[in-house]
Amino acid sequence: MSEALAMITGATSGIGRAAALRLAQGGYAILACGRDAERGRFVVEAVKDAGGHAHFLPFDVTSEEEWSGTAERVLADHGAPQVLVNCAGSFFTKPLPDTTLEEFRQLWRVDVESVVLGTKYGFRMMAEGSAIGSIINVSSLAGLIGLEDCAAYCAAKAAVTHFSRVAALEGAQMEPKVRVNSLNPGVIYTEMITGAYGDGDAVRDFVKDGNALDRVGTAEDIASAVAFLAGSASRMVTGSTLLVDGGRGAV
Amino acid sequence: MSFRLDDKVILVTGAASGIGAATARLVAERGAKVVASDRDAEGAERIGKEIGGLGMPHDVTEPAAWDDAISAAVETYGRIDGLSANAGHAAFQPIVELDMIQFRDLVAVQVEASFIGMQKVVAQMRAQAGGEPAQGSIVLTGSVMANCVAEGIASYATVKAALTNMARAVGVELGRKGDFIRVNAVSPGPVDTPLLRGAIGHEAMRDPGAWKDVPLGEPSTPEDVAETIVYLLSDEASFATASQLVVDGGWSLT
Repeated sequence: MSEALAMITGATSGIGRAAALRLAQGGYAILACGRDAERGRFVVEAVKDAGGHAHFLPFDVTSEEEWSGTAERVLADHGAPQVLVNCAGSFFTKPLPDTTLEEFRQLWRVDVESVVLGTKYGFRMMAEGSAIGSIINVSSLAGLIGLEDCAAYCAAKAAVTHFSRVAALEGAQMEPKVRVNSLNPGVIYTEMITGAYGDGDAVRDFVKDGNALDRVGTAEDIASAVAFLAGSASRMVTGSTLLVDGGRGAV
Repeated sequence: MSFRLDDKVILVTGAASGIGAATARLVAERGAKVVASDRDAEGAERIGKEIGGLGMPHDVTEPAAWDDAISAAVETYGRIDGLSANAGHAAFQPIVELDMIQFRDLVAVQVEASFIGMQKVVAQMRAQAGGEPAQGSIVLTGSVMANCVAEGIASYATVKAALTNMARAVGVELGRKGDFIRVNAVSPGPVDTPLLRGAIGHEAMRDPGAWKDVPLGEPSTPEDVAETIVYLLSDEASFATASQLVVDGGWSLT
């Protein structure tokens, strides 16, 4: 029997890259999806260096045409994935009066439409498989509570979380069944944060000090939650919202 | 892809049956040293022996019984790293007809016992930390009924909601004090345990027609819940605190 296959979008950086490495360590062959070929190669090399198997699939996760073509290619070349992690996302911070509709739409495309398309084509691919599937949609604490100057992001992540609940109902009707869960990280120290706020001690302090726990959340923390939701340890977990935030949301 | 608990010392309450028993077994299988406790002293003894751990009689409403269980862990294994709190029962009368004694009993076993247990376990975790920030993980077994209700089980839903929010509150409190003691709740939906079998009967438990309102089509097993508890106890969940993990096959979605 060939090893189980896990497909990860946004796999060239941050949480997606850490998830690729963690799932490879758990025995999955990895399909790492992203846009940047050089960073894609870097992830594939990292998985291989750790003794795993990985391929890079370059495509634009906001395009239905590209999802459709990629799904066909994956089925033909590798067979159905058992795990799909919809991790591609974008973020910006800006007061609402300064946010343009085009900025809002661009974020919505990357953060929501990519997840809707990923879940749709994930269902189609997994329907061709024989094992129970698991789709993990990476949302955010921001989908559960409000963050100032992040209205577009908060609205988009709330949409991802609730969309995942309904997708779970539909996935449970499929044969084989597909579980769908929302994974909601708190503020995690990744390129997404440093890209928006810059790097340095002040940003690290901002990332850390909002948590109940006195430490910075890392991409590896979230990759471990991905590993939990991917495999049989979470066999009866579907439609759930797994918040891993160092207690930030409850503070 | 299983989570490990190598050499951690874990106290599992309610360990003689159901989720507690499955958790005691799985925690031991994943490398932990286990103190398995239960009000049913014989049952605790039996499971302790089975998993090569320690079995302790433990009425969770008695502060002195917590002292005994924690002392046993410390004397035998040197410390305590985690608590999985499972002791609990249910009452099935409509809440307006439930007598006060029964309601208080539910509160005592689930809410007060967790309050006492967390105080005692946290005190030990701090004492053994030698001035460094204390480490540990506490997982309270709540219920998805903390977030929704079903007919005839409103009193259970009430105490489980209290329990779940207590996990959040204590998680924040301990983090803010500089400890790395994490507190989370696991919230199962219908699970094939003596508690549920007692309520709906063995026949209904095996009837697929009885599980139409669970999207995945079946009740969870105690082992499914135990897997979640093991993840939350493990170092891989070291950024998860004040959180709640629902294991219900999608039951609470509709």
